[in-house]
Amino acid sequence: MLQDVGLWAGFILTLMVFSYLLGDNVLYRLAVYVFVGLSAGYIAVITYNSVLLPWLTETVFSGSLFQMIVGFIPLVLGGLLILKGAGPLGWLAGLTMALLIGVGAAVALVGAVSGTLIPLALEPTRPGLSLPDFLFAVTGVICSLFYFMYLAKPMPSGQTRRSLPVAAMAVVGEGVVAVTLGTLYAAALLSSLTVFSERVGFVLSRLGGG
Amino acid sequence: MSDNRDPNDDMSWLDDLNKSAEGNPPADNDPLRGDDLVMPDWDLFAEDSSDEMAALPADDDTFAGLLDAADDDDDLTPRSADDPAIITDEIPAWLQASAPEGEDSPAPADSGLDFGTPPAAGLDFGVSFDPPAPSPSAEVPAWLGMADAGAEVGGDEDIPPWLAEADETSEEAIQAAEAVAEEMSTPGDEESFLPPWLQDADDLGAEEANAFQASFDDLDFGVDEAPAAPAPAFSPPPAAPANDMPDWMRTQEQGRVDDDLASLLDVTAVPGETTDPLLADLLNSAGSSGPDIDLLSLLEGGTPVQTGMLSQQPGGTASPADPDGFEMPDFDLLMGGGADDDDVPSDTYSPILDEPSPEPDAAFDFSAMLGAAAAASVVDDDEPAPPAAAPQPPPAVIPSAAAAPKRRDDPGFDSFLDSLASDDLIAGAEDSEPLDLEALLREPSAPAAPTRSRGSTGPLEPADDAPPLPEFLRGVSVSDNSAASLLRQQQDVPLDELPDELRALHDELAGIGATAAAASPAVMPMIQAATAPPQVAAPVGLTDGQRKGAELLRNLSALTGASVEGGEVVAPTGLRPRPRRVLPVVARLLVVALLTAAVVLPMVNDSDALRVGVQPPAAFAPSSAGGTAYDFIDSLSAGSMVLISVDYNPGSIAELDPLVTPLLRHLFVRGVKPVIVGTDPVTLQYIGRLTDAIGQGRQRNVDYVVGRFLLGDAVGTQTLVRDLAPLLANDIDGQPTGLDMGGLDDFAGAVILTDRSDAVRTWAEQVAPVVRLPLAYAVTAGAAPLSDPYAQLTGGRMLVGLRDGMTYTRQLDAQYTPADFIFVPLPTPTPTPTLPPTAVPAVTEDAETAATEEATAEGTPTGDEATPEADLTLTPEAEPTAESAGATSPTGQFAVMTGTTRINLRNGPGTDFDVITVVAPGAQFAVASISDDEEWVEVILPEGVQLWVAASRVRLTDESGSSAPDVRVGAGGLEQTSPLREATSLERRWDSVALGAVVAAILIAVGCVVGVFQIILRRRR
Repeated sequence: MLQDVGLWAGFILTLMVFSYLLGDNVLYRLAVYVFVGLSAGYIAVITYNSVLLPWLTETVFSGSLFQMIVGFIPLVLGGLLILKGAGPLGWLAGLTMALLIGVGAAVALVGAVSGTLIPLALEPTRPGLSLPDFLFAVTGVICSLFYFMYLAKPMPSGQTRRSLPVAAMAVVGEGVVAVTLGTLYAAALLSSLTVFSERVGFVLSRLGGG
Repeated sequence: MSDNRDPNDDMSWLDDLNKSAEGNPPADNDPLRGDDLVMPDWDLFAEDSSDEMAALPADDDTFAGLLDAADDDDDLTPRSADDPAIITDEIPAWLQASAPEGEDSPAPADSGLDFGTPPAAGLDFGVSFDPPAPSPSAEVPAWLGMADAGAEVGGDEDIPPWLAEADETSEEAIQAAEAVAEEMSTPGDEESFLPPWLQDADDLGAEEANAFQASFDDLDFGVDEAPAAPAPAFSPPPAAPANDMPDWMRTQEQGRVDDDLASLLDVTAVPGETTDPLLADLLNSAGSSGPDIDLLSLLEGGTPVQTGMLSQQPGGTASPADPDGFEMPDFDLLMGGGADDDDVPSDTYSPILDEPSPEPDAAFDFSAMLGAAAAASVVDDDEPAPPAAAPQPPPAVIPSAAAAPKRRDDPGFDSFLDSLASDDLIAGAEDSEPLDLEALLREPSAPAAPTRSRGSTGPLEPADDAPPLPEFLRGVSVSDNSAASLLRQQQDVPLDELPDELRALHDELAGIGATAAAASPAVMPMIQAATAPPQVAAPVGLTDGQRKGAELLRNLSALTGASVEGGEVVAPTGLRPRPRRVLPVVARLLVVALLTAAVVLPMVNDSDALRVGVQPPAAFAPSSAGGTAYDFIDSLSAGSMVLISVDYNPGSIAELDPLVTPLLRHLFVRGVKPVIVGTDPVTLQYIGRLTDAIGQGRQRNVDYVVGRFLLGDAVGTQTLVRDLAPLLANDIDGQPTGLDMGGLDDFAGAVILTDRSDAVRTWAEQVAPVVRLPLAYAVTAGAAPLSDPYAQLTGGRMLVGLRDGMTYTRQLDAQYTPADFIFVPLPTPTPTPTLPPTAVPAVTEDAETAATEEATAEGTPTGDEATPEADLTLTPEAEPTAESAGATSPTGQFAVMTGTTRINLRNGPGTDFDVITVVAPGAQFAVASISDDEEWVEVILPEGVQLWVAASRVRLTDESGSSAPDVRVGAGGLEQTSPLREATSLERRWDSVALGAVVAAILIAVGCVVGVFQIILRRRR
């Protein structure tokens, strides 16, 4: 019984979301608000159970002084964020933000170097590499950079001018970019159609009974 | 006699009142000094002079004050009456002639003359008057002496004899004034000094007088904010016969407030009071564009204003700038005051002024009103010609006329001039021929003033040495040439009759206005701010001038295509947001309808015509990304653990479910323990339920773990790498997992389920470089292009969307029998069997059926017989064993699923029970029992599980069908069907997606073609 209610609720909410095809309306907004509200509430509970409570149990309430100190550090930093709108003490929130941004940037930078740049640099040395594929990839990257106005000389009129070779490579780069964006668009369209087909099948199953 | 005076110097005597003969500065309250406009006080008409004078405040700039100033020894040097200079030179003849008559002359109050006017700036009297007639021979008018009689003087020696005499005989003077007041009631005596239209003043009744006063009260002089001067009690002004009273006065008497240029000029010319700076700037900018500006479109709104013309003199000489920067025409020149102006040649005005009015009735001749102030006295043709010997009336507007040249910048004077431009003045000009303003403005200097014989009322005669009178001035009355009439005439010129220059400028202005409105949104707020109702703290009413200014702005905004409605500026039609057109909406709905039809039709119709493209392969290519991923999972040993990172939002569940479901089945069939974490708690919770359904019989935190979700993106992933144990200590529900992981390397591998390429990059960057953990990816089709390079860097194991999900399912079902998916608790970890890595048969319905039948016939699983599952696996048609007793039919009946949709199997006889699984139509199960109400049938699944199905959805038969039941519990996701039907369902879904993609491609192509044609058409236009 409870599952039927859920299925029918899903059916109705699906139709409400589909009503957006007729334009923005209250039914669509209601469905979105229900989803966002439920998600937010659920995430809050999960965060407490899955993150906050285990952390407190393992540190603050562990009985170890060191663990308590360690456990309080993120709590204090989190509390400083509350002071962000507290006027004179707002700068204290900057400490937390600096820590978050700094650590995030450092992690991303190190990861990009070690996980992307170095492997890409070593790619030509990979055994079994197809030379035509490699040359095609390198040419496409270079031409794409030319297309984005690098090596273009700015004129007094504000326009830019390229030399003929650079302009020719830019045309090739423009084609590469167009193919890339077209591929991404086609892939996104395929994903959308896949999801849409599932929802249509769900609606039909509801309408068909069982 | 006034006939003998210099027409160009008739005001000099009053100018002298402004300055001391001995060099003393004029008094501060000198009515002829400063910015104050000296105007007649109509209230003093027909009032007793002494009483009225006494009622006036001491600092009031009335004519009494003027007289006081004249008598004051500090301000005016006393002069002897014997001084010939006074009599012959400084005092005009008519004044000289009035002196000897003394007491016989009418008192000033009786004459109705009082030039005192409150010094309110911006005072705008739209009236003028005829002064009293001077005594023919007296040096000082008797009324002047009488007024002086009441004033205190410093000493007899300082008082001129004629004034001293008046002082000494003050009582006599008062008596004389009273006598004169009595005489004023005698019409015959009035005719000697009053203009004809004032002669019957006493005949005006009190009611009419009040109406007359009310008419003035209705006038808006543009000084609403100015403190009102104490108004003396009203006394009936001299009424003129209907024929003699000027039209403008009759109009005022009717209580009609004229909306004409004067009001607008009042606003724009008076500094500081009512002039809106924005309006002034706007007008100034408009006026700066030169005289060629044709504001016919502007004037269509009814405002007779042409700012460009206002800034230009008739003779082409630039007019002095207004204190506010707004250039006003030099009206002094038009009225003759320019004769005394050293800066302007005297011949620049007369051609206009001296032309007699052909239609004096229609156009009020204010030249006559100005009297002697004009260079040449012009007598209206319709007015009765005065006798030759009759004295000319004294200058009625002596103070203003005399002071005008010196106070051209005086806003008060401009206001007074503005008042002259009444509608009646303009009305007379409307019937005149259109004024050729271009010719006038091109003329470097006006021709010599035409002359006319003194006393003649005929038309002007051009001077002999003067160039011929321009054609456009012939037959034009004086009033026609007032500024207002010029504007009105210009307004009346049709657009197509305008000179090319003006017309081109008009078009240019219209274009500039539209362009400015379109390109500069800042213009609209300015106009809106200028035309919006005034936001004032105190209730201040709009004067006519302000209203006219607002109207002007409206008209200007109309040039830009905008309009003002209710104080709000409405953008021109071209700038308005286009109304929502029907075509785009219809087109959108059409696209949606086509796509929906393309997706729905393959689901409800099995016609091959709706199947486009090819179905996904039954197995992965060995070296493909999907094949590599499949082989990687298939190579995992039983008892090993695999980390599964769920990193997609619920919106991608529909696409990734067909991929995740066989993946989890594969892990379970391989005996691998999945440890699931994720960055999206909602999706993570869903995956937990999905795993529960797939792994029926398997227990959380024993056979699989649904762990915590990871906070943060790259940082969270790094935490997973650096500090894994705490993260996996508890599951998503906070229960202990019992895992004791030293690090990611303790896992046999990791599978990342995501719909974001960034997640793939994060794992490739943050995890792959630091651990040896094999990574596999299952991504959506949208994330695949950008994820592929990172997948290639980390082993190249990647599964993409529905297509790979279908292939995975087919290959998995071809590799493993249904019995392989039945969970049997493992007492101890044992080596898992390995299947031949190659020779995966292509799965078809027939092959699947044959394999099933074969398995059924053999009654043993097709897997490795050494596995524990071999002894525990059952098939429906197998001989009943302890584990498969339910496969037989205790009742001897079988239930065949009917209908066209999948059927729910519940754990109880009723809809209140949960749906355990669903089966496809055609499936057949042994019947275990039937409910008492015969509405529910209990069926036995191949695994021995007994579930309930609605009796209405089954058909009972006594014989088993030819095909084996094709449903397995725990072999699919939340909605599981047999591998055959699952494949069929997925095939239909794939057909829907394929057909939808084709339709979408066609629509995109059509849209591109339409767009190209639109561009071509736009460029051609």
